[in-house]
Amino acid sequence: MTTLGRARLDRVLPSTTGSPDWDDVMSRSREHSGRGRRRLVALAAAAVLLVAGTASAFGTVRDIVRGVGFVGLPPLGAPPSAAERGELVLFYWGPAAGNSDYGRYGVGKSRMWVYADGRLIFLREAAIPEGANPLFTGFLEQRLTPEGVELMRSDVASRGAPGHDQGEPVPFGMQIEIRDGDRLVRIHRASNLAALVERLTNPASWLPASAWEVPEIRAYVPSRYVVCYGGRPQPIEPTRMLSLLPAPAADLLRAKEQKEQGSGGFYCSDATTEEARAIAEALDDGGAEQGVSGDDRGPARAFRPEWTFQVPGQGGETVGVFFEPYLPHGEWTCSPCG
Amino acid sequence: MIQRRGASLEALEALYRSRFDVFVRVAASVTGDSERACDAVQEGFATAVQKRRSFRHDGPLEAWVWRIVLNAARSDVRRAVPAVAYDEAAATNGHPERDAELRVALARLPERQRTAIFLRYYADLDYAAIGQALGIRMGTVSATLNAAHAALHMQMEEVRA
Repeated sequence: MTTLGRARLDRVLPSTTGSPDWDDVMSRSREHSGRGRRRLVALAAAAVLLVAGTASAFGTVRDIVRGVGFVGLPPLGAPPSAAERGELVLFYWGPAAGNSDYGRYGVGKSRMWVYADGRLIFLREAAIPEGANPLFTGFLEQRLTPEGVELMRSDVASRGAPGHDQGEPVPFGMQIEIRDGDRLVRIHRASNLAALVERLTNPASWLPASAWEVPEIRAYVPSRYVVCYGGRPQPIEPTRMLSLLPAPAADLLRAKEQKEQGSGGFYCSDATTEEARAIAEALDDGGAEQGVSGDDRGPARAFRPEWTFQVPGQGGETVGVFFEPYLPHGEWTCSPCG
Repeated sequence: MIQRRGASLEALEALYRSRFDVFVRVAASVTGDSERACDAVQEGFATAVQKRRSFRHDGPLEAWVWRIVLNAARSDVRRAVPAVAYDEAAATNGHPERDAELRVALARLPERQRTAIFLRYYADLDYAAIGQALGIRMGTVSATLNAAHAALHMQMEEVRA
């Protein structure tokens, strides 16, 4: 047995070059808080509204989420968007209005889903006065009348119906889909694409007042979330990943059915908002880093709740855990994916 | 039953002032040099201050802080050059020859084993606290330390050979 003692280990460690500086610790802590504050502003504002308006019953909870998006889990008491399920009739993923650089991946993108029941759900990475933070609106919702849904659907169909062989090719990095019977079909060519993009991403600029049932923008509050975890940069065996998470979070995830997402080594489970809150709280309490991954737009946590756990060893492996909201058509999207 | 939750700022500051040197030197076993270790300790304590309300009193405060500081040190390694060079830096510590073979053997250990050694024999943490600091079960701490001892013994034999 090798004899180890404090004195012997003291000799093999580098000497300390710095000295205690508690003021620096506090200063850094304030900086950390500032980084997280953007996300908290929406929640804090919502809490103030909730307290200020408790006498107005139903109107209060609507006010909580009206006009401001959020990243992550909704404020307590916020009613989910109804109905839980809806039929998707139009989908757009491309540049936000006014951004002509739409061939470039991840720059100022916008996504929009229009449902048969009138819901128009969207998010943007540009022009975000109602945003959850300076980078991202979060998921937002407006309501169209049946006339409004039809106006949007027919506008797209007239410029780029499936099989349309005229006009400009829809570029790589842009996706437009429209319902055709019982399926969604992708549009590959469109007349006056720039105008189509402008109309899709800024429908308020051309739809008549009669097209709007609820023109006010409010946050989209999902009924369910997906919670996924996976190894980076390489896939890691799922039971090993769970053993690295805080025990309460791992227990909650083990109790749920998990499906591997594609072949990327990510395992995902459905969760109610309450279950998602419990898992998120357990992850928060684990002393883990949050949202260190991301790209040059900012940390992934600016776009969704995300945690990163270091795998013991020197391989630099990590386990990432993230949440995404389910949309009414039963799918979820990758919020930080541009 | 009401569960205590949160750590006081005073307790964190007292821990920081009394154990600063130990935190920095053990963090240096992860980062490879004391300057980066110092930065990791400052960042780790800043995170602990920010998240102090989430401390659950399910173990010593020091073990909870160790976990955060070690995470900060590992993040530093991931962002910077993933080298463990403390075996070289230690040569300037006034004892360039003494314990050189131990330095080399420690540097060759997997990070978890090496950190467990320093937490046990340098920071004087018990097995439960080491488990919390490393995020592993107490039985795994014992196994990790046994494996580290065995590896050190074998490597030092090799160095001598």
